Amino acid sequence: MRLEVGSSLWFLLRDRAATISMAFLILVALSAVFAPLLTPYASQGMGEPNLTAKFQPPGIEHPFGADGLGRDQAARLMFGARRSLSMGLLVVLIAIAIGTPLGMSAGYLGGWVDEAIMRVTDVFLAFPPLLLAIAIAAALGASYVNAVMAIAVTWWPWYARLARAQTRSVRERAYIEAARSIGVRHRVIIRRHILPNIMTPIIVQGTLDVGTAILVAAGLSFIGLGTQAPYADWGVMISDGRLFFLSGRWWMSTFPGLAIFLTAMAFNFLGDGVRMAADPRLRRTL
Amino acid sequence: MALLSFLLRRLGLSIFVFIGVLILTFIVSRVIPSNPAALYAGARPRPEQVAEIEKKLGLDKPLSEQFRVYVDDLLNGDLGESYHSRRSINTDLSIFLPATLELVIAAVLIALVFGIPIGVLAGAYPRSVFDYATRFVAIAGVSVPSFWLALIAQSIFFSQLGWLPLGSRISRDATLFYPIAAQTGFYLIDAAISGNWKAWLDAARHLILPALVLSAYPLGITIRMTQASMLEVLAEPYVAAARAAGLPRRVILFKLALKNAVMPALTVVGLSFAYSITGAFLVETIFSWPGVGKYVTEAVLNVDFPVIIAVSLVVTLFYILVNLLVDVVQALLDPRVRLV
Repeated sequence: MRLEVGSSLWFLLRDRAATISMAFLILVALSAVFAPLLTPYASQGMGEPNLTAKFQPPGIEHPFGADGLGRDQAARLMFGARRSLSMGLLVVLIAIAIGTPLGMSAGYLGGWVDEAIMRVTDVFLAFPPLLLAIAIAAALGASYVNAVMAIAVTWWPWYARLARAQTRSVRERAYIEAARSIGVRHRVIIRRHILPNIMTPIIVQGTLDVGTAILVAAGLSFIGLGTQAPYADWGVMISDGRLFFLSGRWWMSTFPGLAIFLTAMAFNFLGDGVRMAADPRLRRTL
Repeated sequence: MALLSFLLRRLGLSIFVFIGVLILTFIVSRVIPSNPAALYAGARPRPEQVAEIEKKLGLDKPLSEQFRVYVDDLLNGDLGESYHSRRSINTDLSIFLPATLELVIAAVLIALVFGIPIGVLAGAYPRSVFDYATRFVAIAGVSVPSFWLALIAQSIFFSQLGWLPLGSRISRDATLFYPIAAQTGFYLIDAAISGNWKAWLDAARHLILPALVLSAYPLGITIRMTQASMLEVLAEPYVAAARAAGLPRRVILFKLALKNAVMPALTVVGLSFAYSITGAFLVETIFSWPGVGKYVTEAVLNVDFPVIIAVSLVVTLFYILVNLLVDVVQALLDPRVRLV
């Protein structure tokens, strides 16, 4: 299942939900990257208090309101996007970087290597998601980097399994045998012949996972194990606003929650679209 | 014979996995943290205090010896003592675990009861309005942050409508005037056994909101997996054959396909359990639900390691058992599973 870029891209663009999602994600990413240029309150976005605007509701001055330290919530959201988005992306990239080589080795070499790697993945997957990440993040100490590491360490086994299954089906192809018979080394076969042929399902899964990774990262931040004050990500913002939510100051938690919700949804729709575009069998009508 | 050997193999794997879990949690609790004794001693301990605590906790011994003691204690059912409250974790968990399980089981039931029929129908009528609406609901379910949904739910059903209580497991009135006689720790079961229907109703009203919020993610997963498995079954040659033979669509869908499609959907039970547990860790705090989730998030704030590790172990053990159970049920129902 190799991505034929031309026809697949065309198919993806015809999927309205995926196109809208992509546009939305590009918008969020741009607002994160150019946050300092887009808001007059960049310093508040990075945590500086502004007590004159304490608890100001949404209005012309602060379209998303201000928090308990008077910080403009729109600026906080944009700067928070930097952390929330990067956490999701980093977790998935690190998990792929650890899981894919291990899974390929297991699937290609077979035997005791396969057995050993797969039993290790069994152990990691025996934990309910988040739980092991909480334990590891707590052990490493609460911080943005440690939260990313903790989640990635619990996530790689999924990619190891996926890469292994794909590798096993590719391994039996004639061109691999041909390469072997002319004396190409295993390492080169894995890198040059197997890797390109298993990347598509991994990219599809990766796209679907970024949304979930953002959710999990927000969860860790929400319980205090992720981004630390004065910086904020969306999970921290929900946590900051939570005690005021029912007493009428609804804006502090509502907007970051919506941001997570919509972003995770967009990644899921996009991932679905990419999967259907990459796999022609899913395109046909039943 | 095939069944027996499958069961033995599956059981062996579970035991192996649990041993792995023990090793992994040991590494996380003793090897990664720079200084567990300093954590135990609290803020700014003197060096001799740390040394004394190291001795008390056995941290001065070699790791292999520490691991032996760790496993020994666990096999004796001793989960240790909280660094923070100095209470026995066994006692704490015996109170908190049933609360969480009651919540999680309710959420899983909601997810299955609604998710499977919706998934089957969506799979049976692809590209219909219902299919698109379902896809949207399923994706929304797996995308919404549970702790945020909890806040929104409270604001609607407590603040605005006043239909349901804000949080906790039971109202103060109920504990004062018609207390539940504790037996299993599951309020709904305990109240039903003793015929205490007033308390039952009260507990049920407290359960609805957190259970619904928790069911969002497993509901999305259940819908998607059931739908996918339905689509797969409908593409099978025997369905095409039945269609060619002129069997009515109704018979094909609900007699032939449904049975085979629901089988793989059973794996969803294990997944739903896992995701409800995960959600519970975040949602319990918001609903002041006195369960392991609230327990562990408080432990995180206090850097209370033994509690975090004990909860990880016990919850993971439950998860392993649920998955084992699901696999066994599947093997009993479907002979093909045993051969894999």
